[in-house]
Amino acid sequence: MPAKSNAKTRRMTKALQELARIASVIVDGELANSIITDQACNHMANPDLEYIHLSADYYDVEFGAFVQMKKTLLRLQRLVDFPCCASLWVRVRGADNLITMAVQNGNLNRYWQHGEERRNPEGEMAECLASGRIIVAPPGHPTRTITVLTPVFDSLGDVVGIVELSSPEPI
Amino acid sequence: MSASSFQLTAVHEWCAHDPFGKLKPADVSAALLSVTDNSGTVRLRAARNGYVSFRILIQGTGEYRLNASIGKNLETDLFKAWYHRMADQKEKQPDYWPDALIPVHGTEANGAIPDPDNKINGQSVQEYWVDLFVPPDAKPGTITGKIELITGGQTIKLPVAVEVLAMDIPENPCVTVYLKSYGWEKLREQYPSTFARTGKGARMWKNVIGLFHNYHRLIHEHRAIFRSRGGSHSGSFDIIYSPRVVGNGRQKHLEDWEMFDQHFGPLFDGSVFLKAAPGAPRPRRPALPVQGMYAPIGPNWPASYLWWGQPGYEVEFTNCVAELDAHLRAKGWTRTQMEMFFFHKKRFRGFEWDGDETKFAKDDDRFLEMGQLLKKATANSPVKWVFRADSSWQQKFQFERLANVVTFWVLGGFWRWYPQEIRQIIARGDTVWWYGGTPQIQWISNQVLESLYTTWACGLHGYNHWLATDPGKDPWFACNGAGTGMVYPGERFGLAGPIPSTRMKIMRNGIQDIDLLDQAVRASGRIDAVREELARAIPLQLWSKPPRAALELPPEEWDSRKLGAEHEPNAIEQKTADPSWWMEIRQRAIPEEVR
Repeated sequence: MPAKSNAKTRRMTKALQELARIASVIVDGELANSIITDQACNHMANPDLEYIHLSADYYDVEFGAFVQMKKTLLRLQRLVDFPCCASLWVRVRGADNLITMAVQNGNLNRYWQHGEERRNPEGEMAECLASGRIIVAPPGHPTRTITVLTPVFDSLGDVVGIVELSSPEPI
Repeated sequence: MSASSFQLTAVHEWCAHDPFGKLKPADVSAALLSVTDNSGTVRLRAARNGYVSFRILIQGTGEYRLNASIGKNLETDLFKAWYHRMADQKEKQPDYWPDALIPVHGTEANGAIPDPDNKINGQSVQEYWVDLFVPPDAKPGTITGKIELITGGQTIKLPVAVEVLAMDIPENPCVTVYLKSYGWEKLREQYPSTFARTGKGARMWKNVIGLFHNYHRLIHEHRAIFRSRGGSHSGSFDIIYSPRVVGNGRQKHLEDWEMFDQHFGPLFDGSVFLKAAPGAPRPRRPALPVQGMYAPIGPNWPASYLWWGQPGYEVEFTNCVAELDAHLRAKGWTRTQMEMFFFHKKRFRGFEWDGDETKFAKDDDRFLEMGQLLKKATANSPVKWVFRADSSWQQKFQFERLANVVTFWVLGGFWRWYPQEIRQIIARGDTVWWYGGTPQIQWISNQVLESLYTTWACGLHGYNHWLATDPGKDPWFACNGAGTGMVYPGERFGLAGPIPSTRMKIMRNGIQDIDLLDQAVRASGRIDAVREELARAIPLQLWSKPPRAALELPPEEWDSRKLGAEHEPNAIEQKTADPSWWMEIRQRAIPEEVR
């Protein structure tokens, strides 16, 4: 990678880390946990193996919580001077070993596959959830994103989710 | 190879044969669908301003030349069929079925059996598709000609006689058949050479637009429509689908119309249809503006969702949509229906409501709000703005809750349960289409006519093949049935555009039949009576009764398990109807007494 791109990548990563620090303070874990309805969580936690679309068909959110969170994430994105997508991942209630995307704001996601309902958090995602620390995802990912993960805490201090901040690598 | 070892046979358009001469088992009919008389002459009857078709089979091995010359007053289009090697048949000898049609330049084809490109061991038969176009000014009477097969200096002749009838296929189809494409990236993947060195800038977009225009041309010529739905589920549009939004709040406005105009201008004024798609014969249908198009509107475009529920959202939406409207008017592009259609779903995590296939009644409030904004932005405009909704779970209830807000319905799932409700919304002036899949190539060859008949017989206005431009990763040598593709990329054959299929040709000929029938029964005031007669004669179910769960539970609690009914719009193989069932329609469309 040319020196100019390296410098730009370092600058962007630093900016995303600062954004992550802000996000970890202002993103409300209780609000995050209230977005997806109980019924939707139940279907995600217990998928019907015969009717594979059933879980998605029951997917639903609380309007107020969703919109409030989406606006928070949209505002966070505006704090950096380069393209950035802020997305919220939360634990699936009833299957805490799984996480799901709850709110996304664009196509710059490192992890989420279109239509994906749930996943086992691995690597840096698992580390962020377990440690409660801001994690810079390894570079060189096929999505060519710079990604920083920040934990989302509820009022008990538990990590209930992750805010993913992803930006395109400089060319 | 001597001519005596070759054979030349004409067969009905609905009868597909494999490269060894075996009739596709699904096409075996109780009725004999012969196109030749006792003397061996191909005999066809055709209305003016349309096509009549048949297939020819060349049987033998070696080189050949095929010449089709059917009189001076008919235009002959010749296509060589491609035999698709079906995938996942490792255990047995693979099946090959013809579908993609490679245009032959002119009316003469040179070839060989086995075909070196198709690479089939033991191939002994090559199929061609023949389209005969009868011009609108053709005189009624019989036109004769012949097909000649020349091999090793000897010639086999197949006489052809076409009776041109004193009846005309109307310019515009009475039902709309829509072949859908999602975005541009999947199409680009089908044309690797075309896009090999275009990068990601203006040259790439120019090629994408050119490709889209060629899909429009080919599909328009087959009496159907094509549209590419742009935009992402998170609410952004690429530059060929929308101008650029600049600024915020009161200052937000649209800029940079160049790509939008290049893409849509020739569609909105009809000039795109003055040219044919690459390799296709000259255009025969009129160059008119396209019937409708997706407007570049989403929950996050042009207004930012950051302001949802606040004054800024309304200001950004109405100012920018009014600007879009003014641009269309200034260009004179007012004959195309502009559809505000929300295709996002909450399962894709971008927004809290379903714009498409709404499952929860509470989401309808968002439709009502967006409908008000559209009305405010486009009041008194000559542009034909409509609010379209693709509705499945909640359709019966949305007909009432969204009355006069949504006026264009594209119905999926369970619409057959609601004959009365659908008749009511049609009576109040709404447009109603339905959507579903495309039959696979190994099924009955004319199964594509089923959705067409259903549309007309139920009094609906159109049918949406929900994805019809993606025939699979390798449609040539590992074909998955091409249930999501009725057209094929022509690049393999040196064409920077799509090529047709037998399914598309059969569909076009069916649309012609329906248009003739509709024209006749409306003129005689017998449309309802004829629909009833056909419903009794044709063994296909039109309407159905909802299951008990659908009557007792609200749609929020429905699912495929409880209903015992599939919500996904995939085509299901028809195994009960004799493949000749469409003759009930064709014989009424082109009755014996017309001379």
